[in-house]
Amino acid sequence: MPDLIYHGVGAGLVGMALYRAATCADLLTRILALNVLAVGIAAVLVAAAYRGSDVPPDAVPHAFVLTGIVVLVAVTAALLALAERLERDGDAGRDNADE
Amino acid sequence: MSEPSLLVLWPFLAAVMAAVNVRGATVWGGIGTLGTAVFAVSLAVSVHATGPELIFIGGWVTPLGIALRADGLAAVMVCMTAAVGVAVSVQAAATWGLATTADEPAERARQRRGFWPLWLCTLSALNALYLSGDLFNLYVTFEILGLAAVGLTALRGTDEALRAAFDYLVAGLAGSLLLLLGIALAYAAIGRVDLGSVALLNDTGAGRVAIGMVLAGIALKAALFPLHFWMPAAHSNAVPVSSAILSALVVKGALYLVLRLILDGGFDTGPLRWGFAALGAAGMFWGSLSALRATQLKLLVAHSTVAQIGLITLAISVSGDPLTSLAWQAAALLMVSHALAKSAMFLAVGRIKEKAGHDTIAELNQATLNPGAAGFAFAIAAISLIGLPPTAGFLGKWTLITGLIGQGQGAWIFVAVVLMGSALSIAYLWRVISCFMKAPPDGATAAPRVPWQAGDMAAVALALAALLLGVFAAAPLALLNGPLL
Amino acid sequence: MMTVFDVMLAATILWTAWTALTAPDRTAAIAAFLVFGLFVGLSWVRLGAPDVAMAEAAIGSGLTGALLLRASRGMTPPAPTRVTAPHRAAAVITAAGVAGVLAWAVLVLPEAAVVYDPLVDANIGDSGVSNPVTAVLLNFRAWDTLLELVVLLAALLLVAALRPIRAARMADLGPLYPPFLRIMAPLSIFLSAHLLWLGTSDPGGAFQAGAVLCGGLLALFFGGTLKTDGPDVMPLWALAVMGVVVFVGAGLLAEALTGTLLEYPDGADKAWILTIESALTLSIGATLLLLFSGLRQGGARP
Repeated sequence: MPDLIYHGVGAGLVGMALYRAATCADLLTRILALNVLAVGIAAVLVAAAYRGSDVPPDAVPHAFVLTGIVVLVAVTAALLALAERLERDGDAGRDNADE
Repeated sequence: MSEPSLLVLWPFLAAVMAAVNVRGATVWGGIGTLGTAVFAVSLAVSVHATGPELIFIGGWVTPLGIALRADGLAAVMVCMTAAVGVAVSVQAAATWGLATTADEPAERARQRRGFWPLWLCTLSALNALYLSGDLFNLYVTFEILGLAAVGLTALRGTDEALRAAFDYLVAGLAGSLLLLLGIALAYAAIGRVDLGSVALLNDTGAGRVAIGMVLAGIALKAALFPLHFWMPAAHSNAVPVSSAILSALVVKGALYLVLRLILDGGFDTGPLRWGFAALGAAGMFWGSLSALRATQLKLLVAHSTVAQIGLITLAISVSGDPLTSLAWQAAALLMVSHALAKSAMFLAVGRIKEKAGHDTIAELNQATLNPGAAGFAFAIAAISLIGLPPTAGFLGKWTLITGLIGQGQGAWIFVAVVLMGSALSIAYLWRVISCFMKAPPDGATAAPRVPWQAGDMAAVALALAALLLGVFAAAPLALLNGPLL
Repeated sequence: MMTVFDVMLAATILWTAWTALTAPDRTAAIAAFLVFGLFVGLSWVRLGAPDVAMAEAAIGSGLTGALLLRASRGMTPPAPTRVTAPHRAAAVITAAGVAGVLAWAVLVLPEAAVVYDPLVDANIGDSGVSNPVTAVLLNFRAWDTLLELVVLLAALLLVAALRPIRAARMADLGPLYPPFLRIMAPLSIFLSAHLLWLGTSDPGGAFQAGAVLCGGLLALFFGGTLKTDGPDVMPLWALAVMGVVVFVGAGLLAEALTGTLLEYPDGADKAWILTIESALTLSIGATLLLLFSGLRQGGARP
């Protein structure tokens, strides 16, 4: 039962993040949306690994999610490093004007 | 030490050495690339002699563990990457010099010490991708590839390059997350994620959705129309060596996976096939028309890549069950020929821009440049891209058209599309070649002939390889004809 | 009873996520994101995944939130974007469609296929550790973990290849900071080592330990004791690459000894895993610190 609830949470997070990424041009909000999207997908994986309250869950998707979390922080750091150089050198207002 | 593990780990260790020992970065780059080339050839020879190799990493059998699969198709892709890599490395060494000199500008030093570790990581990621037998493992290799490729894009340091790199990373992340979502659903549907089980996904509704998401994510990474928006800016704003790597090698990883999934999964469903064929055709036209309208030379070549990706996707959609038809080999041949030709083109265009100082097509004529080797390389590469015999491009298109004809009535339209695509590519490539022959305006004298340099050799070598691969196609065809894992 | 708790937790997660995505003030949005990560971690504890919950709390929400806070300092407040009605409608339809398909896909699934569980149970005895997640990460699917570290290193190489920018001046954190640091830094090292050792049999492991170590290193960084520009950065770089090099070396050595990549010699699995994990912990801590500090000031490399 709890896995269905949290699976629904994951689906909801994915939807929210997609909506926000599509309707907001702000750089940081987009990066936040991508992070929320990734957590939503992770929630789907962890919910799918649940086997019941007295049976140990499946460990392999847990490893997937752990790997995914670390990968995501690396990509976020790279995105922010690029954004920082764009903001400093380029037109700071360009991000909002472009979209 | 088996070749598959060395193919991934050797370039990675060289990348670490190049990052730490900055003075000798070029040397480590050369060691990494040449070593990988040796291992690639060794792998191809062993696959040809003794058949495909399957390695269970850690000794754990799938689905618990991860398998590395080296069959003919993987060997061909690995060798292609290594060959283009060697040529591109020669050009990179020529561009930035072999060692740090005391009086070089800081920009040049930064680019040199940034390039080699990033290129070696790209090489390592590509090899890991081609040899992988597990969907989640493929996701991780795509992440490495994405970060390294974005690094190569941003290397130039200009605002346009940084902007293009940022957009590339966002698009890449979106594609990766779609892929991950597909993997999550695939796990929910069948409980496992190794490539050997992909065929089981067809049986459940959730499995089919999973396949759709996986393919959508990979399509975004492959710059398949209409998800190609990030690509032309990224490829045209990078330094020439990076553009060559991006267009020739990095997009092939995603395209290879689409081909592999269709071969493994046996997705004979009509909608998927026709969908890919339609998108491929649309991409061909869109890319060709954009190339016809491009004002800058590098942008023209980048749009040409979009068109060629469309063509390769069309070829993939023709692939069927590998046991009953060989039509899938068209896609593999087109990937190889495009890699050789496009890398030659980008390197040549880089040299042209270097000598002429700009790459606005309207202003290129014999007064501003006398391209010599670069023009020669471009022209030969163009022949392969158009698909004239005896180039590898011709072989690929021929296999594709034969495969299409075998598909039945509806496929004739796609034959027409392929031929129209070839005609359009003649049109936009002629725009460039005619510049080399255009007399200078107002009687100005032609520019002096530029002596050949090491970098030119790389471009010419790649172009000649594209030209002659059609003639010497026995080796790759022998590999492709072997059993597939 | 627990269902009520679950529903409340689910609602809280969705609400904090929405706040993170739509708050007009950047700091509020990032704070909401931090809290969101913690609640998601709590939900994963409910689902029997404490290892993942720890990693999400430390790395997914903690470190990411710190990265975002640092980046948001230089940015202007977000201007509200004017979105046309058709655009908004299209976004709603796409988002709802994807979410709906996702939710439906699981509801209509027949009983989930159970493939990995029996395989992990059968083989965990041979893996050298008793925590199944550690066994999967460092033994059964060690290749994934190795490549994941390559991802970290690739991100570091990307940032190192960019043009250096002027570092912002670090604010003075006040007179209470050095005493705090004197407690915090050694504590983080102890905690990290403990988590690492614990990871073989209980929830924990190299990633969680590395994240805690990174926290300690960050505390030193904020206090100005640890600088990442100038010559101090070389030992950090050495630590960052060492973990991956040890892992690769171990994999190749294993191949030389047993004939298969990353197949640890029989009976010695635990020793091999702990060695690799120790190197990984130091490496992850150093790499995450270097990624956070952004390698400014052009002193990233000699």
